[in-house]
Parts: sequence; C-alpha cells; structure tokens
Amino acid sequence: MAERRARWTYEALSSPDLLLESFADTVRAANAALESASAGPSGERRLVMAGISVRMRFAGPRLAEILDPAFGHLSRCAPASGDPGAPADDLVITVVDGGLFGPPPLATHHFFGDGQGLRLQLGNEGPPSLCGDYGDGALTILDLGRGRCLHWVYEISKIPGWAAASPLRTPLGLLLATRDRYLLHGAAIGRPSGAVLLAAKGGSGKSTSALACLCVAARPGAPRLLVAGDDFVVLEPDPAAPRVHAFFGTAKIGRTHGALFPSLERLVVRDGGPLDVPGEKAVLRLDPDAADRLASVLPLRAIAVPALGLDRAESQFEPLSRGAAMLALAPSSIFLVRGAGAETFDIVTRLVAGLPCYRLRIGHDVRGIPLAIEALLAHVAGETGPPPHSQFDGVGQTSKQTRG
Amino acid sequence: MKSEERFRVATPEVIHQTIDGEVILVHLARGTYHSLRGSGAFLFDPLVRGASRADLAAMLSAGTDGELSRIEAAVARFVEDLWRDGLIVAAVDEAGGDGAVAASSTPSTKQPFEEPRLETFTDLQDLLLTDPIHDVEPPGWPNVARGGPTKP
Repeated sequence: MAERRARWTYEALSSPDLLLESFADTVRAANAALESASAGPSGERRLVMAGISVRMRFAGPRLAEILDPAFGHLSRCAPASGDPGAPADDLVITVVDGGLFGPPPLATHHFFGDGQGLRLQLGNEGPPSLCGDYGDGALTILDLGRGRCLHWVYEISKIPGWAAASPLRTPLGLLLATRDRYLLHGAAIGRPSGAVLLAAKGGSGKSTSALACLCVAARPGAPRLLVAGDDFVVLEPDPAAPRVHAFFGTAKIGRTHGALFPSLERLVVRDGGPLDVPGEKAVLRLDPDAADRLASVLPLRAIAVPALGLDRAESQFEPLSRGAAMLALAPSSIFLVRGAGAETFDIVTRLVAGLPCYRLRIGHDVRGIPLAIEALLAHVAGETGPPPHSQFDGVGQTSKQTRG
Repeated sequence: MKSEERFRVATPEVIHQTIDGEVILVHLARGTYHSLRGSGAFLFDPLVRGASRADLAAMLSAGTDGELSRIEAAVARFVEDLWRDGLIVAAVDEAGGDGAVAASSTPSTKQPFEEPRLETFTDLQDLLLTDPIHDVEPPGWPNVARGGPTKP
C-alpha cells in the first residue's frame, strides 16, 4: 500500500500558472484514481526491458489485459517487487483508464499555441521531461528525473490498434535513450551467433519476413531462425558487437497477408478490443505460444532493407549502399519516438557504418524468405561465398520528389 | 537571394549525417527527410560552412567539365531547394565564407559534371500530422479541427 501512496510533485516547474495548476490537478487525479482502483493481481506489472526495470501500475481493471500482449513476455522473467535483489525501478508508469475516472484535468487545449506539446524541463540539466498527446489515445506526462510517468488513456475503446500493439513508445523510447539503448524501427531475425536487422517503413515486408521465419521454424528440418521483433527492437550500440533486444511481444500483419501464414492464425487477437480493430492490421500475440521461436537478444551482423519483388518466387539479397540503408532506418526510428532526434540519428549512423548493408527482395513464395536469410547470415559469417546478386542502388517505394 | 549570401544548417530542427559520401538530412519539425544526389553531397559541407553560391559554382567549375553558366544555374536551384525545404537558413550575423577550405577540397582532376539535386521524402509526415496536438481547435480535445490535419 505504501507504493500506491507515492505522489507526484512538480514544485520546481517553471510553467505558466494556469498550466501548472491543471498539471497538478491531473497528477492529483491520477493518484486518487490509483487509490480508488481495486487492489489485486492485475493492478501491477514489473518488466525488465533491455536490462532496464519498469513498473506499471494500473488504475482500471482492463488495462493490464490490454497491455499484456505487448509486455507479457517482459514481465514473465522480471523479479517481483518484494524479491530480494530485485533491481530498483528505473521508471514507474501509472496508467489510468479515463473511461472510469474521466478525462485528465490537463486537456490538450492547454498546448494550443505551443504547437509541439510541452517539454517540462526541471532546470537546465538532467534527462528530459515532457507532457503531450502523441496520437496514441492518451495524455502522457513523463518525468525521467524522478522516474515517473503518467499515461492517462482517454477511453479504452478508442486506443488506435497500432498504439495497443506498441504502447508507450514515446516515454519508453526516451527512457531507453538515457540508458544508452535506442528504440529502432525494424525487425531482427537470426540465430544466437548473428542476426540481420530488417529496416523499412510499414508495408515493405518486415513483418512478412518475421512471420515467415516463425512459421517455418516450427517445421522439422527447416531453418530455425529466431525473431526478436517484427517492427521494433532495442539497440545496444556496442561498436564492436551491436546487439538488439526484443521489445514488444506482438506482431502486425495486413489481414490479406495474414492468409500466407495459416499456422499462425490462432495467434491473431480476436477479442474485439483495441488489438482487434476491423480495417486495421491484424495483431498477433506471439507470447507464449511462439515463445520458443523468439529471442530476447541477438547480435547484429548485417542490415537489410526489404522490398517486395513479387514477380519472382524466390527471395534474394543484393548489395545496398549505406546511404540507402540510412534512409530506410534512421528517419522512421527518429519520428516514431518523439524527442529521440539527433542522438538516435548519430547512433544509427554508426551502426550502419559498421555493418554490411543489403536489399532483401521478397519473392512471392514466402517459404523462401528464411532460406535467403539463412544464406545471408552464413555469408556474413564467412561460411559461404557471396550470395547471388546484382548491383543497384535506390531506396524502394517511398513518396519522394527529386529536384534539380 | 543574392549569389554572395551565405547559409547554415537550420539547426536544431534539422539534423544531418554523412555516410560513405552520402548526405542525409532530417527535418524534425516538418517530418521530412532528404538525400543529396549528384554533386549535392560534394557541395553541402562548404555551403553550410559559409561558402556562397558563387564560391560553390567556382569549385564545381574548377573540378568538373561543366560549363560555368550551367553550373551556376544548377547551384542556384540546389541552394534554393534546400532553403525552400527549410534545411538551410541565411547566416546573417555570422562570420563570412570559408572559401579557402572549400577550394582545398576541389578534386585535382576534372570530373564529369553532375547537377546537385535534393531528394525529398514525405512519406513519414503522417507520423507527425496524426498528433492531436496539431489537430484540435481552441475548445480543445476532443474537438478535432475541421478540414483534417494541418502542417505543423
């Protein structure tokens, strides 16, 4: 109970009075919601993500079940709060169900005129704090200095599908960056000895590749490649041996593409909740049913930019310039985590500079994707000669204009 | 825009990196990203270090087989495009050009002239424009602005 009495205090903020008053009201209301929420096993989750400890507290009985598909795999191995030796929390996130407790007193019209949300800076140094609506159906207030985050969901039924599949991206991405870990927009597939990072915008084939590997790995004698994420991974940027950690326990796939993987059909969430929105991508809950094919961490050996090349059956790799790999990986990683900016750009540049880069042409027979990835990994490990390829450059299907 | 005008990168909204001779720029506020093609990467560093368009044209003329008039026109378009996309701003109150540095990086042998080009990608702008912060009207959330998202 002592934990639930924890209070937010923002006495050091130098914000306009009206905003500060509303901000304080919001924090008080969140604490009241936590106090009145029923205690029980669904009231709290502890997670360890890329070695960082996070605790989530829920004011609302449905919140845990909504967040479990994304974070359940990270909470299973995390020590309980009372365990001796349990690491101190790097961040405590309070999640409030606005459907039960009403909208937050701090409404987004408080941002009007500012236009970019708020950067609540406690003095001139220290980690950033912010307050804003990041399009995920919630108001988020983050204070990294004090290790506190408030995530006030306006209404559970209006959480966008993408936000339910990859929740709390902005605050967690900023927390990770303070610990030299970086949330990247990409999929990671490989073996404990080495993996490839697939980087591209949505619809290019990242999830198709990841799900093809999950699907095939269940068959006897097939390439047994592990997946550490179909859309997001956490980079640990050791220059000599960069690694990626798994993050969200979900995968998303276009509903028509989902038919390519009938053995994974049973993993699709069909509960009518935020993860099951008609017209949006199908969301698969990978843990626990596919846990034996998931990796918590993989060492990176190559970067590949997938592109659909459905005029042929087989998939194959081709060399790619580092600039094209940068265009595929860096901008979306930067824009998907607000505030990541220049630091992520610098880290991605160093990552791309240190690894061989390829284009993965995905053929229409998705069973060939694991074979192509296995061949690439063998090649970069020096086990075989170069894969068949043709030299070309470009960045695939993007909305671009060239002037000059 | 005068040919002697000098520019700098529009920091902090714009960040850039160079990798294997390719220059990538990201405009954090607009949600766009960019690549410099042709001789654009060659010109970018001297440009944002203070070289004027006349300096850049002289560099390219000395290092390539292009006609000066064609080079001058191409450089002017390139700088105009960078400026229009908000990637550079005039370096009004700052130190003057760095022509000596720019000239020292000129290739010793004449190369075929390639026009400097700015490639602009806008496919990620939706990631910014779906943010309700930009979409509300003065009464505030949940009143969504009429006419859809507006450019921040």
